[in-house]
Amino acid sequence: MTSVIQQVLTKTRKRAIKKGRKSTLTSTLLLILYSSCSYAEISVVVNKSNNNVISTSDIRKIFLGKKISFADGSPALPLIHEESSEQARHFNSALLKRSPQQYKSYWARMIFTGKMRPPEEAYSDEETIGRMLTNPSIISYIKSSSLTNEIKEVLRIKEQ
Amino acid sequence: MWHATHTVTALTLSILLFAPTTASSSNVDEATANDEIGTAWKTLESRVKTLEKKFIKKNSALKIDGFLSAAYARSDDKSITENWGGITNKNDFGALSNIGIQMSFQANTKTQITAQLVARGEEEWDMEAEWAYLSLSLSNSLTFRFGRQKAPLYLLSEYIELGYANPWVTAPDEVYGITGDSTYDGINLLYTVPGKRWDTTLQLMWGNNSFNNPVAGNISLNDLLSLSVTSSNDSFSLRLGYNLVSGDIPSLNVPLPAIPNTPIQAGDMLNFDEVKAKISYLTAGFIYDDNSWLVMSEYAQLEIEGWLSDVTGSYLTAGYHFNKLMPHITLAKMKNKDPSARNIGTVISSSTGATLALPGAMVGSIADTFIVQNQTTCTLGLRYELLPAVSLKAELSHITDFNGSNGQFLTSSPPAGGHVNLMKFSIDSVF
Repeated sequence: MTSVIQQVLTKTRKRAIKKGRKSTLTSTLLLILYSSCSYAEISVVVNKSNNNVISTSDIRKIFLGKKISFADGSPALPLIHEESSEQARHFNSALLKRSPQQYKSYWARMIFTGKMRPPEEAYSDEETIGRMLTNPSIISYIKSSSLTNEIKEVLRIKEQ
Repeated sequence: MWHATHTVTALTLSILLFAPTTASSSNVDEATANDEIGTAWKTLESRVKTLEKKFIKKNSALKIDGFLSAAYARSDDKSITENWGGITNKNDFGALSNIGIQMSFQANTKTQITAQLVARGEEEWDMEAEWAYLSLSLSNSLTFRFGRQKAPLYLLSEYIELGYANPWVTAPDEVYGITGDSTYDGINLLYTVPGKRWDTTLQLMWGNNSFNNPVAGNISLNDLLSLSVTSSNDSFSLRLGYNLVSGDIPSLNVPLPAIPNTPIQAGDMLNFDEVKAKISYLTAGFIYDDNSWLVMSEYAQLEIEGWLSDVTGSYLTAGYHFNKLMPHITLAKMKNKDPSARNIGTVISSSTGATLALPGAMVGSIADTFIVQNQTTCTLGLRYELLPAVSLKAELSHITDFNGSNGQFLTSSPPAGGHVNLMKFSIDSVF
């Protein structure tokens, strides 16, 4: 995947230079495109005290508000990242199987029919970890590179 | 079949019955310094925003959300007006546009108060409370709501005005136009049964709705009993609903034109009997939406006692997601079922004030000009995701198969040429 995009980038740049155009804009656009379809690994994480078996389907349901507790009956509190963040975009597409628009539509329907509101947002992986340490109910996702041994990983979403 | 030949106040019964609403360089050093200030400013700004967000999110129980649809619509027929948005042959930016603001207050973990105000271009942007209710979570799976809310008559009834969440500029009138508005004052019980793959929701609603129609006067719909079952998994949602309501429509008079080969003179009045009738509608539908295909379909069947006509309506929509672009096609059909011979009312002479002695079947078929709505629509549409919360939509509809009726148009005779084309554009957003 990466190599194909790089080839395209190089080719396009060469072509642009040949034509005597400024290549900066084209390559910037391509870089944006490139970065939008490349995501780092994501880890779904819980508090260390959480010993529940949590399946992919459970995670999906918890983050869509269809499940509000873990297998042992304790409350499950999803914590998400802002929709435009890399973590959220990767998680929503790979795990929730929803495009940004489908994700937005889903929650809009829930909000405007009074059924429920989307989960709370954290602003960084550090904040996520910090909140998870003080609240054992939280389940969230962070970049795998932000993992620390204070929290527990329950699922890893491969890079894309 | 009799047709009124000059313009009269066209009454299409579904409007009459159910809709209260018929009808957006100097030098280098300086530049570098400006850049640095700019960067510092941006950093500061983003920190303040983060703090603001945190503060608001964590400390406020009051949430405010909104949606907006700004639309353009036009038809190719100069002589008629479309029923629901009032679309004509003139450029129209208001007809299908709306804005909604929702405020919800979480009083405690179990109690929530919600109000949704919607203003429509078609109604001179007057704000109306579409939802205003108190909701109590009785358990994890049972929710009770008290107040004004939208009855779940159809698959999309509860968010039909939320353009951003629907594929079309407007939902197919062949189904959604059968009953129009679905706001009722009452109580609602929502029970969710979680399953391994399929979650099922049972919804039971009881309520009343009354409104003033400019032509028919005060119409009341009492004791609505609405029961629906929805089962959904990740990409599929199936729904079955049954609704029963008592309608009370006052008797009304409609002026007639002179009709050849009958004693009817211009100005004679067609007097529709008052209707106190049980109305039932059965609805079934599904939505399938994975990351590539969108397929959805609904069927609705309305049965009513008295002079109103039984109606069936259905549509099928298919679309394909090419990343941010989704082309889609919709086929929709509505058909009236009653024989003309049913007892509708009488024709009163304007000159003598006496009731004309006419066969019931004749009065029935004259009345059908105002009541029956048959039509088939083929719609080609395109939806584009401009920004994460903003979409653009374009649609072309070709409407035919009126079968002697006026379809969903305000006109005294079936659309000339047997077809009407509508063009619609919209920008839809949630915020």
